[in-house]
Order: sequence, then C-alpha cells, then structure tokens
Amino acid sequence: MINDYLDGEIGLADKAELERLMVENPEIRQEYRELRRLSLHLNSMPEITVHPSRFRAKVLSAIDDRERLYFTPQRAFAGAMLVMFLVVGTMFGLMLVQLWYNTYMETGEPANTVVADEHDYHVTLNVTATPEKFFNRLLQEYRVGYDNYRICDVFVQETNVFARARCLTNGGLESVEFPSNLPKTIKVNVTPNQVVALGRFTEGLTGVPSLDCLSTHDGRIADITTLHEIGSRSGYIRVKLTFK
Amino acid sequence: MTQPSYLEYNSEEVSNLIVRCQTGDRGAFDELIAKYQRYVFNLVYQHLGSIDEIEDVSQEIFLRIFKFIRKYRGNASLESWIYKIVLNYCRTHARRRSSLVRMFIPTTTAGRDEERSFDILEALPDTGHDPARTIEQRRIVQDILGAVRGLPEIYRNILIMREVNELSYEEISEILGISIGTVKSRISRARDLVRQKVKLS
Repeated sequence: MINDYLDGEIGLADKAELERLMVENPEIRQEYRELRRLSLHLNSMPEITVHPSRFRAKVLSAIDDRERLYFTPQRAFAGAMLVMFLVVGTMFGLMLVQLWYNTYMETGEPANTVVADEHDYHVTLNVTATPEKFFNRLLQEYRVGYDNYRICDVFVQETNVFARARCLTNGGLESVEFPSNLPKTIKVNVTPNQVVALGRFTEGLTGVPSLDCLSTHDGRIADITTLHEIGSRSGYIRVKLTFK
Repeated sequence: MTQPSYLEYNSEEVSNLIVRCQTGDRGAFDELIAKYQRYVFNLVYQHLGSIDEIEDVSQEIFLRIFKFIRKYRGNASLESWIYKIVLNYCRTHARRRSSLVRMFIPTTTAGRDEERSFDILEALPDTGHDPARTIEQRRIVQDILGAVRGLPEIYRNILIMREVNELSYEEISEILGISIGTVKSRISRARDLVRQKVKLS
C-alpha cells in the first residue's frame, strides 16, 4: 500500500487508512520515509544534454552509409540471379569445352561404346547373292558352330530378318525359310573385326570378291587390305550391305 | 489514400512528424532526432549505465527507429514505442558486451570528451551550501545508483521507468508487455531490494 501511496495510485479510503497507520506505527512511517528518499535520490540522477546538431548529422550520415549496404529484396533477387547465371554459364562453358574436346581431340579413335556415326568408317559390301541365300547360309554356318556366330548376332540385334524366318522340319533336319521380300539393302553397325569377318563370309559365299569398300568417312577408297588394317581399330563401322 | 492519424496517443505535431518520417522524409527524421535525442540519450544512460557507450548506442537506436518507423501503428505513444526500442537494444547490447568482456575484448568506442555530442549534468541536492552534506548526499546517490545497477534486469528496468522517468503503471505495462499487477509487485520488490542494500535512514 505504501508503494501505491508513493506512486499516487491509491484510492481515497486506502490513502486515509495508510496515513492513519503511519501516524500510529513508527515502523510504517520509517519505511515510507526511506522509500520516499529513494524516489527523491533516483530523481536526482545525472541528466544528459545533447549538442544540438552534431549528433543528428552523425545519425543521418550513418543512415546514408547503411542504406548503401542495406540488403533489400531487389538486391537479394539480383544477387541470386547473378549467382544463377554464373553457375549456368560455368556449366554451359564446361559442356562446350567437353564438346570441343570430343569433336576435335578424339576424332582419330572413336570410343568403344559409341555407335557408328558419320565420323566413323562407312563400308559398303556388294553381295552377289540374294538376301535369302545370304541369311540362310549365315544361319547354317551359325548352327554348325562356325565362327560367324558373332556376325549372326549383329543381324539378330540390328535387323528383324531372323524374326521373319520360318523353321521347317524335314526328315529330322531343320531348315529355315526366309520370305522373298527381304530388303535389298541392310545397314548395320559392326566392330572392325566383324566387318573383316563379314567381308570374308560374303567372299566365301559367292566365290568372288564382294567386298566393296567404296568409301570411308575420311574419303579414302578402301579395299580388303584396308579393312584388315582397320580390323585392329576400336569403335564401330557402319556397313551397308547391298544384295542381288 | 488518407494519411494515418496517430492522434490517440500523440500530439498533432508528433502525429504529423511520424507520417512524414514514414514516407522516408529525411528532413522529418532530422526533426525527430532533434526532438527525441535527449530523451534517448538519457534512457540509454539510465538503463545501460555506461557513459562511454551512450553515443554509439543512441546512434544505433535512431538507426533502428529510422528502419522501423514505418511499422509504428499508433497503438501507444511514440515515446513509449521508442522506449521499447531502447530497452530491447540495451538488453541486446548488454548481452553482447558481457560476452565480449568475457573474451577480454575492449568494447569502449567513445572518443575524447571534446568529441562527444553530449554533456552530463549532475543535479546536486539542495544542501544549503553545506559542503560536507553535499558530499554525503552525493555518496548516497552513488550508492543508490550502484544498488540499482546491481539489481536483476527485470527490477532494474522497472524501477528506472517508474522512479527516474515517472512512467505510469499503464505505460510501464504497455512497454514491458506485462500486467499492471505484475508492474506493481515488481516495483515494490525492486524498492525493497534497494532498501536492503543502501542505508537510507
């Protein structure tokens, strides 16, 4: 109640009661005096006076300095965009370097896993037999364990010729019949070893040299010797077979 | 669009000043600094208790006022709103200072006395030209101030608000965000704590 009295926050009835108590009770009176003295002393706390313009100039100058550095949403967005452009630009640059490297630095040796494209060797094999005869013979040799099974695999994987074949059983012997409308031209991608084997196979099939290395990607006119040379290469060769 | 009015808790002059400051008017903010710089300096001195840091801390507080004046909605007087900013900043600053002091890094940044933007006026008690009594009164004031500085923050702030700045219970309640009952009990407790430390009889 003394605190309320000191702070002027006391009702009239309580005020009268407290004043009566203070008259009667010296302890309460002493407490009031001490608290009153405390208030007076705290009120005499040193005061600060500020020089009129010096401080204002400092604050305004500091505001100018800060505003130049303030992190605004627009600045944040601009910064994010800059970072994004840098990242994308760097990635794009690296891709270009990689592309340039692949294009100009590795043209001599195509990668093993790359399917033949316009930069690889192009070989044409003129087969002086029908496609039906070609594939029939290929299958026969395949079945008897001839080494051309790898060539056969190429046609299985890259053409649907064998899917169109019909197996016939005749007297315990199995033969294959191909439809008569097989394509006259077939393009396959083969390894250099396979193209040499293919050349040999077609030569053996028809009895005449049927390998016609008309052109390669670098414009060279190639023959079987060239194929033997490139047989040691890695990578793929695009072979075009033309049938009778 | 009509301009907001802050007349409920402020004079017309202050209300207009706030509106102008909220539009980013530098001249208006210059006026606001001129009007409240003494108020802020004194609050900082009272709550922080360090003369060396008054100017830097006050400057930071005005920078905050400039930054946040657009968010002032007139729910209390501008003085109360500023008082809140002062208290919050002093609290943050004191924590930062104590952690820096713990790391033995000096925090004083004030320059020489002649470079200061302020002076300290000591209000001497009326002792009727009695030097001995004046010295005694000064000692008591210093003891009281020392005792107040040693109070826990919740009691120190509230005692300064009430005794030094003579804020009403309602104003203290609004600034500190506590009930009037809590304000009363804390003031009473703060006074008792000081009485226990300083001989006032």
